[in-house]
Amino acid sequence: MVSNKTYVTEGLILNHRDFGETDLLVTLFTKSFGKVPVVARRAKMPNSKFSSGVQLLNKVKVSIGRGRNLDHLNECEIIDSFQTIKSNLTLLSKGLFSSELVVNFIQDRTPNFQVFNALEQNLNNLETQKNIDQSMIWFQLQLINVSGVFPEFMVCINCNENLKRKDHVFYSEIGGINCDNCINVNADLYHGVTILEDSLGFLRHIQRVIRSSKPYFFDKYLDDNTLNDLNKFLRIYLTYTAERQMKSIKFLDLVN
Amino acid sequence: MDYSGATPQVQRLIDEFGRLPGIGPKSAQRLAYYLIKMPEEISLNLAESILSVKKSIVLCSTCFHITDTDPCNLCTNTYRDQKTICVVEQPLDLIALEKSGSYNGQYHVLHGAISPINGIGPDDLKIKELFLRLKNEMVDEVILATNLHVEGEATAMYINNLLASTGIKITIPARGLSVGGDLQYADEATLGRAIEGRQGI
Repeated sequence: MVSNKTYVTEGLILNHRDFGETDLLVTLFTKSFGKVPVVARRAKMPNSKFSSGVQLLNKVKVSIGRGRNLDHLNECEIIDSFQTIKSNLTLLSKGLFSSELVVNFIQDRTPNFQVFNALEQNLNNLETQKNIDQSMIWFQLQLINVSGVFPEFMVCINCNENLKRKDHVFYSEIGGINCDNCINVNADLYHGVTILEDSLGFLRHIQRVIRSSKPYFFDKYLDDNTLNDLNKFLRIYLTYTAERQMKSIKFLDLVN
Repeated sequence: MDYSGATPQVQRLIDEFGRLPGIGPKSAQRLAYYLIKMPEEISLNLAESILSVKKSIVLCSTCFHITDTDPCNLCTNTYRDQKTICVVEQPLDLIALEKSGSYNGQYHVLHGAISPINGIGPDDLKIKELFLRLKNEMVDEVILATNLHVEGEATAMYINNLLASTGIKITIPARGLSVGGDLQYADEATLGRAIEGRQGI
């Protein structure tokens, strides 16, 4: 029986850190309650009932007890441990990067089905090794959208004129692009990154999809040039909006 | 005004005890007042032993274990198998393996594990030093005894990938059920590993 003092939900293990001698403070991204910090008591002991359940990137079903300051884990059952991801350094680096993004962009205790589903879908794609690079880009774009900072790619951010189909410089500070006539308006900006015409075409398509709010199945093929260009843009923009460099980027670059 | 009732010197002692692992504010307070009540000699002995440990302890330049002689006794012991190196994350892991009495080779302490989410990469560990050692020593086998969490396994995978071309035998300790444990209480991951690594009797 579930009482007010406990709640049962599904979640993904985003992060954990030592908490006292044998406990772990686990950052759990739950379907129904958002991101919650939970204490897993004695999780570092070899015979702990939680030790395998609270491993990073696990999808788990948990029973959580409400505490005065911090909630604590009562039960933890693994639904999917994403073993393929964990046995491949490239996939692991991408999985951990995704989870770090969620830790940084999503507030505690705010349920967010869209991000939960996006992260789960991304981990499933990494696990099945299906369109890995496309999946990572789609996940990051969804996260930016849900965070309310999706940039403007259709029109000039200054004069609202439609942008020409060509390469443009995107500025993170203004969250968009200045057309050729307005190029000197924001001369003091320095977080600029050139986005190629093809990449901009793709970003406009995504912007239209997002504005339409219709269900969308991402199956676009992106060539290597576009992928590299989008990754470059996303890295700069995410770092700017999060106001910090993701810690896992160094490892991501090392193994990819 | 926040007044804890302790003089600044006593509060400082409580704060210093509070920095130790496993010591909460209450325990720190208890330890501080215990020391105050004890004869001065005991406090002096404790302070001296802490200082002497801090002054005399170094990292072994070969295996990076904590030692008072460089190289450490484990590295200079000629009765130990010189051709096998067991790689562990922390000095405490080495001590646990030594206590088991079932390993008689050399060690290499990494002083951590790769943890991308905490910004710890291979360069922050003693991995380069391990490769230097493998280049200079005649090693037949490397046992990757890192911890069984994602970070530990990522570290083992990373070292394994780099060592794959060297021809050195690379092994990991067996994974699975703990001695004295009941099957019905083991979790899926542990049971899965145990079945994968089953052996003839």
